[in-house]
Amino acid sequence: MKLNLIKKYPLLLTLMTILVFLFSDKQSYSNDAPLQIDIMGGRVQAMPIAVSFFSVDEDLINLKLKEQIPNLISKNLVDSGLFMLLDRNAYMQKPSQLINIPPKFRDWRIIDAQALITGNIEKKDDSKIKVNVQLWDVYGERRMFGISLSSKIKSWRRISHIISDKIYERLTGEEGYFDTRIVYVAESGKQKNKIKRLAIMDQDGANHKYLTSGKSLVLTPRFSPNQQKITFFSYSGINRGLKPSVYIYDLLSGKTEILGEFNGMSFAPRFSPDGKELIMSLAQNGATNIYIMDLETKNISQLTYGRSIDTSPSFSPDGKNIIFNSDRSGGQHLYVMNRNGKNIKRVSFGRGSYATPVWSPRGDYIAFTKFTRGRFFIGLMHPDGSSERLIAEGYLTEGPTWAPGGRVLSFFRQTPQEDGDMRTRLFVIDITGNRERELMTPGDASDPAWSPKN
Amino acid sequence: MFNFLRLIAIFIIFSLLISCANENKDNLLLDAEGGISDSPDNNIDDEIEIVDNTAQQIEMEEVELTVEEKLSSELIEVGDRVFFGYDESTISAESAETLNKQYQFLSRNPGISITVEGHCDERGTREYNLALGERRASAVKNYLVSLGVESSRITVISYGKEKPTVEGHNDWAWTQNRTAITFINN
Repeated sequence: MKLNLIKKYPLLLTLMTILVFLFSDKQSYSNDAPLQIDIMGGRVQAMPIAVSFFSVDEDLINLKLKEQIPNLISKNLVDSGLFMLLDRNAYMQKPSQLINIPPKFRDWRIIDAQALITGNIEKKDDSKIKVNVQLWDVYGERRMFGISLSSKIKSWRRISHIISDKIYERLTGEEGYFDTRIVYVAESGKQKNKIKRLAIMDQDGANHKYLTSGKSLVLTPRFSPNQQKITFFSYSGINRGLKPSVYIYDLLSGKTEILGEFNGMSFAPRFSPDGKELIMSLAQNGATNIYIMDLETKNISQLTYGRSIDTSPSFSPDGKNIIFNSDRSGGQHLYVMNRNGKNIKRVSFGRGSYATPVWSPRGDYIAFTKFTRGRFFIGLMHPDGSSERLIAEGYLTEGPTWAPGGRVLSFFRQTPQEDGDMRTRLFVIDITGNRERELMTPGDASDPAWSPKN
Repeated sequence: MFNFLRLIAIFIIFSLLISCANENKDNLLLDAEGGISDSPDNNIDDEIEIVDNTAQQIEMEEVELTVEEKLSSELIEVGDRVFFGYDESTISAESAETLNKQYQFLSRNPGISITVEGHCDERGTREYNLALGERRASAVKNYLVSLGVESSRITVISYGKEKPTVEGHNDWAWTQNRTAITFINN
């Protein structure tokens, strides 16, 4: 079964003993400025880092890991746009010279490495390894931390992602987002009758698998905060007389359940930050309003009223407010309300249509889709509507989703091709609007949803 | 007399369908008979008389339509779809004319129920367009109900921008795809 790996995730989690040694250097080096980059303050220059290949026990079956793990760590850090990997040919110390002893900091200062990452891999048994990694402050001449992870060899990618997160968090002071997954809609076929399937992959595109067969049309998947469930919109029940509806897919059991049968079409689902509730739209007789459902009792309450289209609701990270998209004023704009539907306030006032607002996990930004003068944009604004700026554009760009930490987002973009077809792909960009890159998928892809941390 | 006209209508639709199906074949025949070839000295501006040999084939393929097919063809004749302005769901005068005919059709066939599918062009977000498609399908439903069709005979469904009726990324395609289409339920 394709889902076996996912089912094993919690097992792996418990199997994986993570020992983090955080050496409190602050007391002994209190006069030194800590090696840290302020990443939320706009444009930053990439920090030059050295990531040495690891040393390994010679009898380890998969000797390539000594390069694969540091390579994946480097790739994660470089992809974040905040780090620049120094050429390994310039490293003066070999991996074998770096086991259990501090590096010769002078040798690393020559190539201007600000931080150095070293490590070694121990064989525990035929299927398990222990990976020890150290992060060094080259100019401060001290170890910033050491981390030791034990797991199955085949989990080496997760080990690398967890290590990447720890390094990223130590060097930026922000939450890492490498040990995460992305669920999205994989598209294929002709424009008139596209096959759309749910697919899931690691944040870097590895471990890709399909979750649905493609027999029925599915859209807008979103993770639950414990990242074990995915809510989405599907037409799968229409042959049985059911309306197109919101469903919940359980990644552990592989089971899908309809969230309830309503008089209208339920869609645009999102979990509350505690995962106990779900907000969504219900379209009925030409009006679309926002509802909230208690997932335990299945009680549903209506939050907005009227004849307008109120959709794409998204919770603030503290769960107190909801931002949504409404055409109540004529054009499509963004509105914030309390979680009980009270105090509805319009927050977008620019030209064009605003849609799909998503509250950042830090709470400081709203990402949204904007349509104006024939082009689509991904934009950011503060929750009160101030400081609006556009960070990505295209023939059609849509559906922003935040990575944990609230510094990086993904979205999808359709680009017309010369043959008249559309290329639809996922992209990653940071809040400065720089460093946009395509997230590789096997085929066309839309509606990305970034998972919380694994 | 009316039935005769209807038969002719069905005949026309059918012959259209078959001529579509035989398009490739006809092209081949054209190549052979009309003398079009890839030879460089061929003047493609020449007028070519197309010999329509499809009529003969139709006579050979007389097929009885099922009741459902007859009804569906009739609905298509009557006008199975209405169109909307950008981001709009109002029933235009032209749409009203079509829906009046749909109402008469539904009155003539009291045993059938219908589904109205709402569609949008691609110039909007997925979620908003799902809602807009529902609004368009509901506008059609409400209009038919206002004429006297029982509400229980009409189901609405929205496909947003997910199942455009025509392909393309231009004004013409968008106009065609801002639509609500009526289908007879099986």
